[in-house]
Amino acid sequence: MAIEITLFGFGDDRPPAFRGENRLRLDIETPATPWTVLRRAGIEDAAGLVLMNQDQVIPPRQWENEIVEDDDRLTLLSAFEGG
Amino acid sequence: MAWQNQILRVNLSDATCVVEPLNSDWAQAYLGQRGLGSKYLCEEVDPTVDPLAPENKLIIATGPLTATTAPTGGRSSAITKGALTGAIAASNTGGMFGAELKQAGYDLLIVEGRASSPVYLWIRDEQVEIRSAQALWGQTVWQTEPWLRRELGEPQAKIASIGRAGEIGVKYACIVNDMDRAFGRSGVGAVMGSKLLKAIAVRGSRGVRVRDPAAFQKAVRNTMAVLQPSPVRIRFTSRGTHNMMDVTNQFGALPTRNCRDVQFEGVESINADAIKIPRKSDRKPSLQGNKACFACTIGCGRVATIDPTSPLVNGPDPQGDDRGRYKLPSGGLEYETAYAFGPMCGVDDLDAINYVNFLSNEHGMDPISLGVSIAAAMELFEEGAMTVDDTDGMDLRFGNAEALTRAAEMTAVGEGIGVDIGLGAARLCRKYGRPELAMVVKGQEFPGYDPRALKGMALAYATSNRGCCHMRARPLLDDFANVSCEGKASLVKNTQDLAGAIDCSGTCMFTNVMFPPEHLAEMIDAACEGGWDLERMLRVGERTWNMERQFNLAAGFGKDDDCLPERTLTEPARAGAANGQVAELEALLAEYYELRGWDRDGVPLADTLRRLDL
Repeated sequence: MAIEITLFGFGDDRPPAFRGENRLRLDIETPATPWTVLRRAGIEDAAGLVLMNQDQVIPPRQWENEIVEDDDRLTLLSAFEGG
Repeated sequence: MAWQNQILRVNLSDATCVVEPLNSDWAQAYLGQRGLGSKYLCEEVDPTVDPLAPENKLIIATGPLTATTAPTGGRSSAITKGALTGAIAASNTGGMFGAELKQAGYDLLIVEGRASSPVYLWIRDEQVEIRSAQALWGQTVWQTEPWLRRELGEPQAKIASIGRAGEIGVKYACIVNDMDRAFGRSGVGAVMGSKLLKAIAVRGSRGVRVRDPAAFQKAVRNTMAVLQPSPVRIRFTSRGTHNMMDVTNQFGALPTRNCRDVQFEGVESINADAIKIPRKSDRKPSLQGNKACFACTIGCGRVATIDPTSPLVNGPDPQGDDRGRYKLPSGGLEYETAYAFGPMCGVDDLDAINYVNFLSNEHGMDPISLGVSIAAAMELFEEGAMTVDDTDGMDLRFGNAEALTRAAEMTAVGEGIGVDIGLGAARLCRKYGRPELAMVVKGQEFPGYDPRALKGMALAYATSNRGCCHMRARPLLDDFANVSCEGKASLVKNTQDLAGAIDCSGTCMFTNVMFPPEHLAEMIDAACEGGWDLERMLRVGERTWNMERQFNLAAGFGKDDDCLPERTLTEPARAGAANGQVAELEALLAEYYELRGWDRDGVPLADTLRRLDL
């Protein structure tokens, strides 16, 4: 029941659960909702965050659906409207 | 109040400087900066004029919040008919220059005509002089600024100037202020150079008064209370705009090798983390610190150095001058600069990218257009349309960092293949018989967001009045969350109007993701007469957009110019979130025209013009 999350664009502002790394493996019961996974990773505020599963974007409207499966590799982007 | 209620009109042909009252009706209708400056341009300049003719005008416009304590209240815009595009140009800068011009007592500076020999302007409140710049002609921005401060005996003078690129007519020459900030896009520096105006030096002591100081102070406090703890503000401060590179790359929206690809394998060598890694030679990172513009508490600007052992900063440069000046800390990489010289050219050499960025500031070139023009040249070379005979023997291939730096050096001074690269990607590719290789819209080069993955940005690029631009609309966050065209036409239209309102205010576009726009309206209302709220400000943005559109239509642009490069419409992305997809425009464009109140050819309907008092 392992999910892997990789961060991009967080710099040193990673959630504490990541312990200074950009990658975190979570043992979690699946199927799980993206929100469940994010909260387990210590992320409560999703402002500016983009979640992808492999190369597929998971739109925020699906974050309450149980769509995260065992061995999924999620990517979390910290995006803001830059110049 | 908040407006200074006067403009300075300088005619270089007959060497006159006249102070005029600001047209207050226009100030109420267009607020300031981009909108108000564009109104003066549209009223006074024939849209069909040659951008480099004396009849074109160069307007430097401040906003009502410029030089106030409003967060980021230091912005100003250069408005003209763009040398690169032939479209209306409004190029926005930060730094200190705009605030100083406002404090000297002027909402706008209008420069007309053409001098008979090189000149500079010296503005000290009401004292305005046109002085000879014969000694400065041929000098770089980095030489001009200290020279002028010494000559004027005024170490606090704020200066905007052109480098060699603006003098020789590089189509995307910019106007640099405060050494490394710039009125960057559309070739406003080439227009300044065509007037033989080398520099504008300003010292202001008048201050700016707001309508209701107590209400204004409260509005600023309210805004700061939201801005300072904003996670986005914190990320901007710590990572700068450069942070975006990891995001666009992972998403598959990072234009790479002239948009052949959407991801770059060398990102880790040049991203926002790479500039913080200590070098082996001196154990110092490239990034030295932050730099903020007037009244800005974000400080997204970077200060950087190049490895002191690099050949790029040692020995003589091609002109025989010591390269030692490049060892000093200077304006560092922003996302767009890093993208244009990095992935777009396939280069992953951080020192080379920093060096070309320094060159852009030193000589006054828009780094986006320079990088994309070099990328176009690289593809022309790889495709055989350009040969070593054209490049003076240079192996101008993607990924060749030495070729990147040499091509930039040659462009800055108008040497060899640099003359052609200085034409911009569109003219360059036409000249070499492959116009489809120019990644441009309305003649202006691509910023660092690939329109195949970012569906709203595709429409934003196509419809931007000043040519391809990522700052004229703000669809990006939604684009990342939804790889779909649904809702994008209205999103682009609405954020174009909001961006227009911000561009008219004197504040920075980046604040739009750090505090709600109601805060901006509250500050404007406390600063200015007339009763302002967000709805009225959005109307200003919409009015400005339609006025710019009318200028462009009269200049000869039409629906066919609301387009994207063929490559993005026919060659699918080969990775990332939009793998297999192309940019989609046709349906979005029709919906957008309708939302705008334009006909099917993109011409504003009479009802729309009436509704907007145009």
